[in-house]
Amino acid sequence: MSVRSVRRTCAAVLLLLLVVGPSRAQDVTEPALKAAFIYGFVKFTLWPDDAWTAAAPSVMCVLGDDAIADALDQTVRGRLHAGHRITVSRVTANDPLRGCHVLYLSHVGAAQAAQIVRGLRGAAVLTVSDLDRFGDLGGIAQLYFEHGQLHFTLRTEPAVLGRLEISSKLLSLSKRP
Amino acid sequence: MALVLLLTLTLPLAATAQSALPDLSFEDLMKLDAGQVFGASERLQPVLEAPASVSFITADEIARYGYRTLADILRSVRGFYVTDDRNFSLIGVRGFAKPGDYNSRILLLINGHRVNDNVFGQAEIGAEFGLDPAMFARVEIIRGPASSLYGDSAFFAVVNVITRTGASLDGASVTAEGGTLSTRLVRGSIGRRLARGADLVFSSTYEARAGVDRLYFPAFDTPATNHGVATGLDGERIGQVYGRLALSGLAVTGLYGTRRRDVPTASFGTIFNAHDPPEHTIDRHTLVDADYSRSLGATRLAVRASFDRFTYDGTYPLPSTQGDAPIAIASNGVVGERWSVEGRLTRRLPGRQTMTAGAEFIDNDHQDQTFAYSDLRAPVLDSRRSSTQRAVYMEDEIRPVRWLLLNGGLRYDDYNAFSRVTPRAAVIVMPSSTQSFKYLYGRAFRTPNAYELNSYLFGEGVERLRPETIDTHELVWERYHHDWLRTTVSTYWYNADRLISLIPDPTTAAATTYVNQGQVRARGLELEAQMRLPWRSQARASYALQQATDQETQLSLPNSPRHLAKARLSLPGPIASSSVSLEALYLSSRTTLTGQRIAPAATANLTMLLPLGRSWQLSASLNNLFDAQYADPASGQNVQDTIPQNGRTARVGVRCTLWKP
Repeated sequence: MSVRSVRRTCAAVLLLLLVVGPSRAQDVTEPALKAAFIYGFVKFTLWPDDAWTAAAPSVMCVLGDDAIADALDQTVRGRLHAGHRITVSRVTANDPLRGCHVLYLSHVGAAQAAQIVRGLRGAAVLTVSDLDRFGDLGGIAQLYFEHGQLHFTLRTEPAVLGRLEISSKLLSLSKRP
Repeated sequence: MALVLLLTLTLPLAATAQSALPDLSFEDLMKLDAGQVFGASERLQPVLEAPASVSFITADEIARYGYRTLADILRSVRGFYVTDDRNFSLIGVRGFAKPGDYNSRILLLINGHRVNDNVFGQAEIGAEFGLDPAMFARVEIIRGPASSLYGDSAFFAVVNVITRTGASLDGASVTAEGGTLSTRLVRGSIGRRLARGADLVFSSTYEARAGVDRLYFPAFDTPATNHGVATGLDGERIGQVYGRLALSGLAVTGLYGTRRRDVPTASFGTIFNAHDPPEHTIDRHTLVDADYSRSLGATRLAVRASFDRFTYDGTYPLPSTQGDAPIAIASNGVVGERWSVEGRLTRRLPGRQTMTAGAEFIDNDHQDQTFAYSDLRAPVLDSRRSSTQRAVYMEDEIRPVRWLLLNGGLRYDDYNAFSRVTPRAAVIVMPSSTQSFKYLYGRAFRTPNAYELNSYLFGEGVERLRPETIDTHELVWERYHHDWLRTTVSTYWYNADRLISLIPDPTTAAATTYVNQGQVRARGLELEAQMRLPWRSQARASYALQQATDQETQLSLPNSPRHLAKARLSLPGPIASSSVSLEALYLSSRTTLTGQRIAPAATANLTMLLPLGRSWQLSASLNNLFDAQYADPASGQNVQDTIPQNGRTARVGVRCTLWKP
């Protein structure tokens, strides 16, 4: 088997694969995958009716991770949440965060994260983070990696306080890290 | 090149056809691989940001492609090739695979812990590895030098095997397999995540094969040596036990593996086709590793303590030089045992910095070698060695702006006879979160191992041996295209100097000795495309072009193919969750130690997985599907110049799930 024929075989195999036509998004970058999870949480959570004023958008706030914010921009483009358009907002700890529907926070210290979620106690804000033991800090959803795959664990108490209704399907997929 | 061109041309076409991640179910999202690597920096990081070109093999792929050894897995990886001398498997990477070497220029890790033994420095990748690949959760292949993090042996690459958790098994099953060459295997495994986060897994495997019944070696074709036919001397027997318990930050891993291999090649001057006893080797690995990690604010602390024991027993029937007995049995015994402790801190610092600092202490309490002849009373060699080593290291990653990562690492290693400082640096430009351009520079070293330092065998001169070094530069372009395709283009060049080489020396007991004298320069280009396709199909294709030159002779290295090409495709089978997977591997021609050119090798393997109901899964594999006849270059310990490889073999198996909570 010559080098030429090998190259030809490789090219043929690839061509075949491309003709078959990829239609299923799978192997992914971390921000794209995390954004898809965050959007998934939104799909499986009910907000109280007073969480929006008439035509206001659903606000996804991102603190400390621009890559996630960019990926969320891509993810939510052209999608609606409970009939509301979705905007992604890059925020800092000093911004009023109670106006967010979702808050994703990353790259902050545990003490600061605890302070932020404490400030959101009772608010209808779904807090999500990749920080270790985010649930113990008072957060709702923690994302974590195991063997390269993304998983999540949920705490229902802060969600109940904020009158967020998390679907049983989501709860059944939650694992303890 | 044609490959890249083709990909570039067809990308827009494919991109329009793909659907978005947010439309996938959580179950599907949780199966995706987000390309996280641990071993490149001893912390989890995205592959795009890692200071190396990284590949993974997952448990799912190991099952789909029917891989039975770590050697099978590495053979499928971009730029890697494996040479089998019908006893041990030698890894080739970046054009370097000197026949007769003991894989001491690849660092092999289990869950981040070094498992190269402390006598030969060998990464054992065949069935002698000690852990069943069915218990691999993931294999990380981290190319390039990493001595700045790991010290000795991280010369060409680091291979990190991450073992399975109870949660990933979630139940109990037994597996039975049988195949040609009288192959049979039984495996039992159980695993579960228990209450309060405890995770427990246990597995045990027994495997045996008779091997090829009649192996013909033309070099021995005389009437006195059975016309070159070795009969019934290709058998292998393996036993493996693995267990792991994890509980709130603490993980204790234990494993024991033993393999006995008959050697049909009459290596080391043994009598050809001897049966009483046959030439054979027994390798045993024991590992107990306790790893504890926890977060303290913004700091991640990890400590670990490990015990490793490796024993090797070689039995060699030789022509007797004493008395009346026609044969003398030479016995080579090796015991390598070490205790190691390691501590590591990783901390995020202001200014988008992540700093890792660590220290390691290794006590090699046994590095013993014995050699005895049955016709001599006293052992001719009884060498008891021990040594200690200490190291401190640091790595810092700074992100001055969002699209730029600067990474630098330094490690100081102190051995009894010398010390080494090794650096690594990376400049990583990320124009977006889906692609990165990397420039990587690293230095690595390999210390002379206890085997090479054996002055009884190789003379007093070996005490002057010093570590060999390598300087490697690499440019990498990695890209994710629309979440379904990952491509890598990489080019490297290196200069390996003061290589520890075996040369003839009539004054020593072995008539050879080791000196620091080889120098090799090499460069290469590697291309890879990894695809996730509709209906849970997946594919990967890679090509490597490499040229490694011995600076003294200006000749290409022996056993260094210029081209490596690989393609594999896994498709859904006839029923739900079943798969049919095809793999094709090509190695261009190589030269042997005597300079003879051997034919290129092209092989294909096919594996089918077929779940039946909730409890049963059938598997079937055909290796070397087209029965290609090919050979690998032999080492200097062989009379023959090449070692023939297996033709077509088949294997079928059934797995029964006994319990699924």
